[in-house]
Amino acid sequence: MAVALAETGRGSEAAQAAAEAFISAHNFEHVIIRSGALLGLVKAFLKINRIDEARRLVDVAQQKLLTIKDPIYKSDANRRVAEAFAMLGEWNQAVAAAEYSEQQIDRLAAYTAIIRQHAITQNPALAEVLKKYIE
Amino acid sequence: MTAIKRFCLLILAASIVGFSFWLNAVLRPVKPIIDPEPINRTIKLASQLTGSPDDQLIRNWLFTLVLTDRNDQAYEFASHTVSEIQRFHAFLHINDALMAVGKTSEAQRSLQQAEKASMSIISADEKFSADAVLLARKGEIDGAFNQVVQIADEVARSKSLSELCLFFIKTGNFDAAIRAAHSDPWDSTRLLFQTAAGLFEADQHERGKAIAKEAFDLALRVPGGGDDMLERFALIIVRAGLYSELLEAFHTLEKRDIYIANQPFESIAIGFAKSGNLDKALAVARGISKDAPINSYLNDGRACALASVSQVLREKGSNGKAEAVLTEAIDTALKIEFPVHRSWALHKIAPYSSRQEERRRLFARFVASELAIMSH
Repeated sequence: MAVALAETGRGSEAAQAAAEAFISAHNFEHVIIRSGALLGLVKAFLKINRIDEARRLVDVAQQKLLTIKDPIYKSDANRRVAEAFAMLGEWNQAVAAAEYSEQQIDRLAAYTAIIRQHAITQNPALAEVLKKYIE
Repeated sequence: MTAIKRFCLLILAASIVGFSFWLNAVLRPVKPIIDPEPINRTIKLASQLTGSPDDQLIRNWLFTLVLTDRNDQAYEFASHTVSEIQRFHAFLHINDALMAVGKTSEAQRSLQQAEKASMSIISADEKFSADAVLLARKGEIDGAFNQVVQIADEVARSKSLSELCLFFIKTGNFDAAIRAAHSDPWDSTRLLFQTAAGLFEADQHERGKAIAKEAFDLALRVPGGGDDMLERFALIIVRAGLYSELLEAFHTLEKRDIYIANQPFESIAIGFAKSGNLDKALAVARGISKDAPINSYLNDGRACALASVSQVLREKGSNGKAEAVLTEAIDTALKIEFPVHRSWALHKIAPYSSRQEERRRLFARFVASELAIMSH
């Protein structure tokens, strides 16, 4: 819902909906992290230039993932948080979050996302090429 | 005397300056060795993950390196990949990435590296498979097939033919792709459907239709009814103009209590709408979960199919009919009581609306549905 609101330009309502979702989610790792909602929200907020809101969501997500007990879910959550930091251009934070992923596959996926995002930041024209060839 | 004194003072001053430089160099505090550049650190950390079991992830990583002009790091990663088969495939991924960006001469080097890596493959079947891939990439089609027929294990042979077929589709060699599909008794239906999809992509419509028809007939002859293939490739079958035949096949399967998902029926409805048979398109769309109560969650598929038909009508310029069908889709969605399914239908339908105000209203309804889910 928050993604839909943000995409239709209703930034304030989107921020409110996202905040409510973060608080009310019974199962944070499933509802916010594993569903891809976090990355969708960050992307949507960046699209409408609400960088502070995007950053706040990622910070909250990073704190919340400390409560995840299952090591596989936790590793996946760290990967997604790393990707979210990369979207924000917070490279050091992104690498640190990736390193917290216990699973090799999550770490490699996170590092790929970081390099990809960094390359796009340096050269936006690469976005299409990378999207075309990287599944 | 004064000149000698001045000369001595000059020597002394120079010595003091030199000594202080030396002292400064010796006593300068040693800075901790840190890599200030997180991107270099990322590449360094990733280069240690050469034992990753996921080939798709390795492919993505190598493509990312090559596409961001880091070929050396890509080669280094590939050469350190632990498993010999993965190492071989890693070099092939580099080859694919280089070919994708048109660096054909550099791609030759990666193929040579792949060939070198294939030498260390121990399993005979894996070696035949690797040699077949290498020969295919060199354009030696017959040679590639000659390698595949030597694979003893049937499953491994089928896998190798599938790999060859997908490579030929990607490179536009459809004759070779069809040959690979026909050579694989286990998986020919899927490979033929995939070849048909490749032919449609390459704008070879007539040939695509013929291959899709062949695959469709094969799927119908599968003892279980071929429902999984028919559902998976419904879009290709519809694109080949076989929507009536597919609908009939689904009805036959349903009579045998085999469940068919909503999406393939939506594809069929779109096919009829595109061919200009609106009555049939609407009949198929309205037929989705037609026996369900008006407020049932099962009606989300019908709402979406109606919205897709309305979109086809709009694209054909029949705006009046498109509006009427879209209204029916929205009404169907709004009557769904179960919020998750109502939300999903509204979210799918909203972008089809041509009127901004209506789109906003639908998104508002969607938001209300989602809030209901959250408060629940």
